[in-house]
Amino acid sequence: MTPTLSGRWQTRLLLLGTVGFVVTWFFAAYFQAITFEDVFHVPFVLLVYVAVLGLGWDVLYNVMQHSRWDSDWPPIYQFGAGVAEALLLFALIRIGLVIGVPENLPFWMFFVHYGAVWFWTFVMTQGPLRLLFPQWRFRGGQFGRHPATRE
Amino acid sequence: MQIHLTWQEPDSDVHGEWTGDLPLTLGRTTKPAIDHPQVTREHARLDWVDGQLILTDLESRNGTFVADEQVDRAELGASGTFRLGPVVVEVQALLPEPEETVIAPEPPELIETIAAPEAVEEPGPVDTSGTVEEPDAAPEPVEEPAEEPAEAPSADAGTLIEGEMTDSFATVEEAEPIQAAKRVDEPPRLVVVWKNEETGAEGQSMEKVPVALGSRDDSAVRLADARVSRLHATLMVEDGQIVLRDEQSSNGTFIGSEQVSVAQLGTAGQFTIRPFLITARIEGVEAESAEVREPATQLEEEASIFFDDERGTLAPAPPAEESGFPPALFQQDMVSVSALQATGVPIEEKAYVAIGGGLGSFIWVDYLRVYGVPTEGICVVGLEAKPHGRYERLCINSQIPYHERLRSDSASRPDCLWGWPGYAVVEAWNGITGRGNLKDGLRAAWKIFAEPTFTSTYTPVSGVVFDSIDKEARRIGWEQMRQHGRVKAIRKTDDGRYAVAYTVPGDTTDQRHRIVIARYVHVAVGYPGIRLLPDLQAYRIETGDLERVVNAYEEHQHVYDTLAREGGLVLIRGWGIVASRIIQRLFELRRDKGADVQILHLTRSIVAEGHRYRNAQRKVDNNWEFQPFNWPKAAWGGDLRFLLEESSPEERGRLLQAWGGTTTADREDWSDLIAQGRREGWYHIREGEVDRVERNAEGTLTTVIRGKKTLRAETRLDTNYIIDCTGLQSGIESHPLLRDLVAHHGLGRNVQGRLDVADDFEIRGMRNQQARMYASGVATLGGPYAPVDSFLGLQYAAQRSVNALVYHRAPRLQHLGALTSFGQWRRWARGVAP
Repeated sequence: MTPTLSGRWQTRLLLLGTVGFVVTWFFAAYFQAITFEDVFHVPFVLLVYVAVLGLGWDVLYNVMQHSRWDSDWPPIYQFGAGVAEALLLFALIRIGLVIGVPENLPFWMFFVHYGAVWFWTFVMTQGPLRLLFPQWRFRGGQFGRHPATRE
Repeated sequence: MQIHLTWQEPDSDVHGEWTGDLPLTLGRTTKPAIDHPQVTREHARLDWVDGQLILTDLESRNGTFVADEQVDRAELGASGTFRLGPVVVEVQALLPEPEETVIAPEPPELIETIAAPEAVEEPGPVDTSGTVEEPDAAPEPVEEPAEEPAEAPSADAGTLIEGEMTDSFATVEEAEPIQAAKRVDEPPRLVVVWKNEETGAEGQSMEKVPVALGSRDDSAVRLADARVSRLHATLMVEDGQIVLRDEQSSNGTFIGSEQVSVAQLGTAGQFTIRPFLITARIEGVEAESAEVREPATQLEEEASIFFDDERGTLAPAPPAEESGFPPALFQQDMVSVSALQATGVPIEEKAYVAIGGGLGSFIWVDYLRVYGVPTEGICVVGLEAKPHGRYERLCINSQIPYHERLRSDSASRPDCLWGWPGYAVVEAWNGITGRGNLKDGLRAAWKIFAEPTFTSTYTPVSGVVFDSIDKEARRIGWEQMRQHGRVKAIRKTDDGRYAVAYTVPGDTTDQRHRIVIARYVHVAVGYPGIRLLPDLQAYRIETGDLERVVNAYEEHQHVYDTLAREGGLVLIRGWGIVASRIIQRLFELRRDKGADVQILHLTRSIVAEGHRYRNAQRKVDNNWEFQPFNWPKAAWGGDLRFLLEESSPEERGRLLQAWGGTTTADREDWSDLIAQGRREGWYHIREGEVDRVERNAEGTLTTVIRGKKTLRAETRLDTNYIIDCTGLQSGIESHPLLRDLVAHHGLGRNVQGRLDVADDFEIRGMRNQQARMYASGVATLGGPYAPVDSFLGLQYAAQRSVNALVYHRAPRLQHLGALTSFGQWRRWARGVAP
């Protein structure tokens, strides 16, 4: 994939809002069921954090991408970006900067939820999105049609 | 020992001069300092040993060169010329000998003309541009006679240097004495074009004045014919005018029918030395009239080998024109449909017509079909039985058989507009499920995950790609839509459509010539042909030898068959993906057949650094420049695509320059092979500009090269074969249909001289009321999109034009929303017609 900055933002928000939301719902219900505590909202809060922090991360990725000759973003970079974002977010949780998420959130809970969201959004960018939006890959990850040429 | 040094940076006025004692270390941080970025801090050393200068490379980054050959150590004699990276250095030992001793250069009768009349004394190295390199030595007038050969000890310096050369193929034919200093203005150069009116042989060269014309082998312009005197005439420039002087030749020099002894030609002119017609012009002066047309330039513009799609082969000439069709009415600006009907030519009407019938047409029609147009609404006119016919032939000729891999991305599937699952995903899946090779499958999966940083880029196997296209062709009903024919002309009609006139080869009935009228037309005719390098084309015309000089895209199996039996030396020209594959093929002859095949790879100049764009730089290794595909990946659908589209035509020209160029894919097997070849001594890189190619006494080939930056001596390279890997002809002039289209409708050209298309690939100037005409493929290169001749690029062009037709409400086309798109993909996956 060779995204543009706005393509990154659009794709991130759309995928977190759809695939990410479904996956998060599943884990929210699961965590609620096994802990007998009121934690249903926690994964959703994390999802919002991933989305909002990600808008900033994307700016950084975009700069890095431009220093590559092909100006592309291979899958392995997507993986590396996912790891970096996870580390920062978990650190923020531990120092209590993520409002609405307990500081002592078990790592495994964070890991399985975050990992599943990352995995399914990654899979979507590797192909299935193109089945729904054939123009997406030519528009640097932006949705919508090519503009009409007025001549 | 005192020496005098001068140096000159490439393509600039920066130069310097120094006089001092040996030993001396030369580099960026030494004294004197040669401050050029490609010169290493301590680049090379000069010593005086046993009465001669010894040059030693100090493991510099960009190398030290003598006679364009990279050296670790070289003996220069008493003076010499060498190169530190790109910087040319001339050195001269200041021997206590009389300076006037001038060795008479060969040929004696040329002394007069060699002694340049314009020897200008310059006040020294001070450069008016302000970029002066002026180290220790104070500026002083140069005393040496500027244009005369250097003094005695250096006369054989060239020979000594050449004697050091390890390159066993290179034999020195002629080593001109090196000039001690070149502190004169460059003499003007003349472009001389000649044509043998009897044989049709032609040639061109650019020469410094005075230019000697004659039948001698070493004439600047050699006119090989018994009627031409050894030194027949000379050309000089006086007061900005070319002066032609007959050198008392036996058979005379003529302007028109008038014999002349001395004549002014102006800045450009034409004269005859029978049987040659010669034109000369001062470099930079445009050829004026149609008569002063340069054959060599023409060779560059026009294809030398044409695709004969009727026979599925390559032909040396374009298909012959037939008279009487298209009808005379096609001379008009706008064709009347009723008048067309009156001609009696069979006429068919369709909504959509695709012209070409190759991959470009196939991909466009695939889009139309998926977007809802039935087969009845579409007509494809072309000569290829299969959409990949020509592409496949070019692959096979350039040594990519069905089991070898193409230079293409996994997700670039010409048979699937969604590009999913990509070829790599399929390969991985087949490997894992046991239908294919597990190792290949896992490798494919790893590659598409980690490419191109941690592994080389995945590329699909050619046979798999062709099979997938065949399958999709069956699904969309390609055969029902295809009309076998060669399109002759396209015209606007008075009812807001286009008339496409075509001929059906092999049809002997009165149905042979036909016309199809359509509102929406797509032109994708591909590369017009193959172009040989001008000197190789000149060789072929002159000798008629099509066996030893071949283009990689031609059928040239005989080369490998002979090499497998007899071994031999092959000269490769070109540094692209085709050259990579040909070298691999030659290596396979060594490995599998034990044949003694040697490769000499010629380059105009050593590539020290890759192209730069923004903060990125392309990788270079062993003179090869690498990128996974022929453009940076973001040119297909990333930020570079948007950037190019938004740029002005001039800016587009600059961007294409920065991103393009000759590159090959960084495949491990190829780079290992080059390293191995250099180590084992069967692969050599040679720098030089080709002057001409000749047949030698043994019946093999001699390529005469001239050193570009150091010695002006010629070097002759004797090889058994020359394989031209420089590519295909991409100009539109060579294609009769496009040439007619542009000329008849007065269409504009893009910055690279090809079809001017809008961002949605509509051909500007062809709109006719509601009718729209689009193009794709290499004919549009230089416009809003760079990778126009790739699978994915053709898909992009098709998507843009079909998308525009949806906005335009063209019949039966429906926008592909998310759900319809997914539904259509499912039909594709199940192999059901759209």
